[in-house]
Amino acid sequence: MGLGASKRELHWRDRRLQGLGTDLSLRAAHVDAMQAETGLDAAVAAIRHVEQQFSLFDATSALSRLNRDGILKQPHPDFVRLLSMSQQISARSGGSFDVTVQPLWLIWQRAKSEGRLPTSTELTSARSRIGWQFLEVSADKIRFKKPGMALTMNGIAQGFAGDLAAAALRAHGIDNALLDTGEWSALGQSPDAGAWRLGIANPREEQKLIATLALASGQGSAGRSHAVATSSDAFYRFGFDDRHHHIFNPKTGDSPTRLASVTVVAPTCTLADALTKVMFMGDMRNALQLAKDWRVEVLAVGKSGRWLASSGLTAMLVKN
Amino acid sequence: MILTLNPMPPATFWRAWLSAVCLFAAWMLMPSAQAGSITRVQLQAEFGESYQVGERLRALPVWPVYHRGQTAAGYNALHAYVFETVDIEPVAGYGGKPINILVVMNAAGKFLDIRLLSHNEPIFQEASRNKLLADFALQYKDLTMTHQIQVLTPKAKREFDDQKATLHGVTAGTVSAMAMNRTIMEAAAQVAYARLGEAAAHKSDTAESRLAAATVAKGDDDQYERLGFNELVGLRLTQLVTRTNREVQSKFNGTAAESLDAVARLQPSRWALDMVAMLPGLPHVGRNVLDAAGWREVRALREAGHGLVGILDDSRYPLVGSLDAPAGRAARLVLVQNGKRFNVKAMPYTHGLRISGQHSGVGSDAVMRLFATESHAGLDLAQPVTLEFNLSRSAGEPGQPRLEQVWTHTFTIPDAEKWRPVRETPAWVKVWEQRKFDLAVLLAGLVVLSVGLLAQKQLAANSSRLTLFRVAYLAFTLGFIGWAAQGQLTIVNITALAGALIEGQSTSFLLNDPMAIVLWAFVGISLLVWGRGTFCGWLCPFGAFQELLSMLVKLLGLKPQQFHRKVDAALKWVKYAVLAALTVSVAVASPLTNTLVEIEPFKTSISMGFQREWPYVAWAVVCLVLSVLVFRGYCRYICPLGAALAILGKLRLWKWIPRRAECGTPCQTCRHGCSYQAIAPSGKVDYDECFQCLDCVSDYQDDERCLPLIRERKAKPRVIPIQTVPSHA
Repeated sequence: MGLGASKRELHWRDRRLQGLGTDLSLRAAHVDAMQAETGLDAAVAAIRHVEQQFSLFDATSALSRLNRDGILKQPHPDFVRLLSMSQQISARSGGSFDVTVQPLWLIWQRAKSEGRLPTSTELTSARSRIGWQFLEVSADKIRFKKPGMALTMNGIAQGFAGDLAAAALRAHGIDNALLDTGEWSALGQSPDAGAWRLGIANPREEQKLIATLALASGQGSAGRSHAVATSSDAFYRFGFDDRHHHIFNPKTGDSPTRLASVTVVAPTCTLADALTKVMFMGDMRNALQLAKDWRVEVLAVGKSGRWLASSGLTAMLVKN
Repeated sequence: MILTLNPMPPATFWRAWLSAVCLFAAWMLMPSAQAGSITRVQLQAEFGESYQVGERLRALPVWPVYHRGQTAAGYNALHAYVFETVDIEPVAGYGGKPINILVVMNAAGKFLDIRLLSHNEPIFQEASRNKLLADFALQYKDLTMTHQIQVLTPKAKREFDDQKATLHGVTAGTVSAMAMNRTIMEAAAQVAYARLGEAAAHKSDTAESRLAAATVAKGDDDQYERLGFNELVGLRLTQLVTRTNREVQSKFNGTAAESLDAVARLQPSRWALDMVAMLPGLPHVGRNVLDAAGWREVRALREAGHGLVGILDDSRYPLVGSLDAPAGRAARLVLVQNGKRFNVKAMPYTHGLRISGQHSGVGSDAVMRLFATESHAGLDLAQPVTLEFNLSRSAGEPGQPRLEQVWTHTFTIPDAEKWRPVRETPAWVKVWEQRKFDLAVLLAGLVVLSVGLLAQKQLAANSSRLTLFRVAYLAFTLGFIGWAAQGQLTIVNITALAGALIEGQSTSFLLNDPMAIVLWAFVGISLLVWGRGTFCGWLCPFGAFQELLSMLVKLLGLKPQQFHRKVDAALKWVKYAVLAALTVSVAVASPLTNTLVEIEPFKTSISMGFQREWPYVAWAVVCLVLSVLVFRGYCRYICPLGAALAILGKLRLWKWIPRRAECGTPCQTCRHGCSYQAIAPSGKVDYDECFQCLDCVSDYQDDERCLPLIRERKAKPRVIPIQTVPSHA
């Protein structure tokens, strides 16, 4: 009977949705098709929950209220959890990752709408309102310690959504899944009972891949997961070239200059997502060193299109 | 309930009646069929294997649909958005309930598929008629949400280019077609706006973009006429503002900023300022220059009280609203009107231009820059506005002085008042204009009737005069009011109004039927004066039909039968039972209401001239035959509208039928003469059953028929007139 059970066929189900500012997709398998659907319902609900907390578009989201009032009382435990994680990453990275960079967004966006780049005075003014240290986080309130501060969770919320959605699936007994919540979470095996394969897009030509990752689950390791996150300078730009884009160096107020794209493979999607921003601040070699420090894998693409990968990630690349 | 995307086949006559009998209890529990009830799983079944329907959007009941696998648009690319119009912008049709249409629209705003899901339009219920509406909806396929749509006559040709489309209309369905047009276009605009707003906000996230996304101006659009760019310039609705480098340099000569703009000195004849300025909030400007989505945004800002200036800018001094500390050169815009200064804010304009590209006068790369005053700052678009350009130069280093020189351009529009925004004529006003002739004839007819009824004594003094008047008027009622002008009042008018009130929907759809409005107003007054008789006896086309038919048959020698007084009294209650069943059905918003109102043969015999499926025609014929056998049988025993009017007729203020003490005892002449059996043996008139035929009024003054008058005549001493005899001389 034991043998029979293990060979029972998995039923794959999938969902698509628009959320977190992009098109998302979820695939999951269970021997009971209904269970797969129920699990996916829970995963979708988890993503909607993350949006309700962290959407900047929705004026009623918890984050919008915090940005408007400068204080958020009785925050949802998930808000506190994610902010605590992001604060730890900020501390450990010396401020390379910082959720308080939102004032930079606002001045860059205004300058763009007026057909110019921000002035040095504007940048100085915005920089003075940035700093993860000026954020007070506790279970019963979140508060800005300086006036004019604002948060954006856009650098980490997609990863967090991936982790919450994966947890929702696991809670429904689902061990095999592939989630695209803007970043990727791979659980267990793919439908062909092999590794999940993910292509890493060329930041200059989106339809072309520079490499393919095989996220092997290994023998009998159902439930083991990988998370893969990518940040690229191609997503949104303020000028006509790749000089000024949506990733900011919290220290300069401008975009970091050396890398075109960073892909991080980590145990959790939240960590992978945040670390792409940390690694974006340096060059390819810094990225490899940081990967070692953080015990994650990285593939970094320079502005020239040349790329380097950590040894662990190189081992995951599909040879062709 | 189970939803199918194919138009619902209307319930057949017999099945419907069976349901009415069997399912009375069941429909108390049925939910209203109005709200959009589609689910992702149902949509998935419709779209089939090659597409995947995504989860409902967070903000709106809209579903994204994706391709499965590889297509030209990429892997698993977005195909379209799908939504029911009733969920986004419900628009009531003729029947008072929203017409629900399923729309599949791609991200560029193009309608990939359109299907009529449900409606309550009274004369479009059976399959062949329903298809007319479904076909009308199908014409939107391949059009876009930005098309300017014009609905023409049913025979007109459907034509479209990339901006305008003319569609063929629906016979006897102008109001339905207009409602469908509005629900499709408004819903599409709102979906596009929400998606666009969210996409923009995720990438830009500025307070302004959120503000714009939250305010979509509602209601009818502003009137405008199509003008080209050169015409706009000619009318000075758009104005060129130019200054050469030389002019600008001369302002800075001798100041510390003299040498901060090298190009100005090297190329003195080139433009330093080169822009086209306009007030896009004026509909003739905005609707001609901006694309449809852009105009909606601008109009929403205007409605929110912002004063707006639009600039197509090609200047070397970039135009800004505020100046924290820009580097190098800038032109800060301030508006001045009647000595009051208005600071402006740059608004991100994310839409396109309607005028651009070759031969238009505007470069295809032109970008609209939008500047807005604070909300309700009080800028008047129709008065001259001075655009003040504060040109500044600085070395761009903090702490360095910034030097400003002011140029002004006074923006005066000749005859500015005539360009002020005026709402487009609402659809219902157009309908009233179209019916001018019919309304005039109807009003004349009502005046004739009022005079006749007010002068009932004179009218009825001569029974052949009365008969002539009555036959002529009934012919007018059937021929003109009923068949020609489609003015048959029906219980549907009341059920639609009650339904709309119960569900809290707008009742403005009633205005779409001017004949009904005028007739109802007249009937309302006549109820107070005379009771139900005025309508039932004179103005109901189906009633006139029955009576004229009876008269014809009488000429052939067939006499209608009368039930015994007691049977008649019992049968009169049937119509109240019918009315009660309808009332319950409307109160619980039962979907069977539409079937139940088919007990009225009005639609079949009057509105549609018997051009209907056979069960309906059979029922109408049964009613007419009944009326030949038993005078006005349908009116007196079945008609729920008559029952309703009888109840409302209790408000009647006068007993207008003259009576004498002898009426009833001993005289029974009127009672026997009353074809409607509305006079009791006691002589009392039952106004609830009186059709105001005036027969008894005629009898009352006829000294050949009215017993007291006959007696009076006989009691008088016979006087033999003395005649002078001519003398035979």
